[in-house]
Amino acid sequence: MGELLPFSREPRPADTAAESGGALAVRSDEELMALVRGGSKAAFRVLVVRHAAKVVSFCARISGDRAAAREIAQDVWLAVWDARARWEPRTRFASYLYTVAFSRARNHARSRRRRAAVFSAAPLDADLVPTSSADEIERLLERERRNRLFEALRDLPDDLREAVVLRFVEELSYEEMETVLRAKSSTLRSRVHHALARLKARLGKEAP
Amino acid sequence: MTSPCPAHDTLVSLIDGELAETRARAVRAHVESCARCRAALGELEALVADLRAPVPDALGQSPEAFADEVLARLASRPARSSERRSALLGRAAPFLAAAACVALAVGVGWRATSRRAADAEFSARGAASLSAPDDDPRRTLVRFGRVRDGVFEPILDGAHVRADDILVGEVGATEGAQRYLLAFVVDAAGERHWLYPAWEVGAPRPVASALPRTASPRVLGTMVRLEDPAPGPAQLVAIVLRHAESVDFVEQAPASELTRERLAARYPDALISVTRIVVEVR
Repeated sequence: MGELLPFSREPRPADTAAESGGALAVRSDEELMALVRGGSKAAFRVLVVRHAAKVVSFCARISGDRAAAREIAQDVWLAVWDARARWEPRTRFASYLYTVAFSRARNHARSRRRRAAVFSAAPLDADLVPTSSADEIERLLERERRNRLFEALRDLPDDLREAVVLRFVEELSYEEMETVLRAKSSTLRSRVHHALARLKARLGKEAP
Repeated sequence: MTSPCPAHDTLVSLIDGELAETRARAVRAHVESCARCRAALGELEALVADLRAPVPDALGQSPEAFADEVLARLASRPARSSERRSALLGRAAPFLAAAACVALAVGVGWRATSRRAADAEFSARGAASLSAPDDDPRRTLVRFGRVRDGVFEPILDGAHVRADDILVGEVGATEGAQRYLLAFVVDAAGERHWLYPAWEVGAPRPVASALPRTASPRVLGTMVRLEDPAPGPAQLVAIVLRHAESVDFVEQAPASELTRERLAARYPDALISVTRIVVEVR
């Protein structure tokens, strides 16, 4: 009862010579996804490379867990592959991708909070190499500022964090956000404003 | 004479692109002539620019290396037994060990007290598809209940369910071809909480649960307690299929796709059961 049975999803043969190589790099996301539907791993790889940094950053921001963001993003891509046959060509691929990523990252955020009493999950800052170069110092300051912003974002209530990320990072319209967050656009506008005000206030206080 | 300084909210609306063009022009004109507002707007713009920048150290490798890792995981998946996939997919907390004890304790008692109600409910569900073949999933009888004080209480339309209730499914008329069940709660926040399949970290791949073949109603062997459901109106959805469908669609679809009508369109040969409930959180 309640038995779980294996479910096979073997990719169909594809990846012809015509689909591989640099020719794929100039194709749109939607064209690539059409090839992915046919089982093309070469097209899939081009999509992953194209969106890798943004999806990982998105997962980090929504989940608040930078250390786990890469693994969450990998799961997002595996889910995209698994569901490739059901992808609707009329859908904008980026919208679909971030809907999947949002679901995974939000889920991780909740799971992570449940484990918070067990694990201390504060990520360690990467090595900061001492340097006297003005450019390097500027780069480090910028990185430090973004680190502080990431932490401030992580500490926002979920509803504010999700709203401000979808609005300003993913640049969704309020109508699109209504679908994802299941809240009225007036509520979402208010959340975005509150989030920005709180981020600005906190970063202002912390500014050296 | 300069115009009065706009409220901070107005500056936020400006960079949010939410001001009407006339108003936006007026605010920009003011900002040009006001050092304080110029600084405030500059801070907001810098904040948004930082928000859009990559999170430091998040990727930690080249995009190409990342893509190769994804493809390597794809290639190695048949052997992945310890993958933590379920932790990222599932929202329901499986209540397996305790559930087994509860099932033993109450399995006979509740059925005796609720059989009449069960028969009535099952008849109502089955009536619409009596002309279908015997192994048609739409003939399946399925309902849910909660176990309180050792007694099974059917969950009927409009029922109030406590967040800490132990939930369990019951099925009947499943003789013939194998059928599979996807059952989940969509809470007021649109979150999905899985009942069947219920899984936890390290569990097998999440696909629909294979139903036991039985003519008379039988309670399923797995009970579930929802985890952190949002309070308020929710839907308890059951989909009975001919195939072991993955949970992926339900997990990834917008909540608007999970209505009875939309699900019936997506799974035309399946039984779709939707029960409206209200989740109470103490």
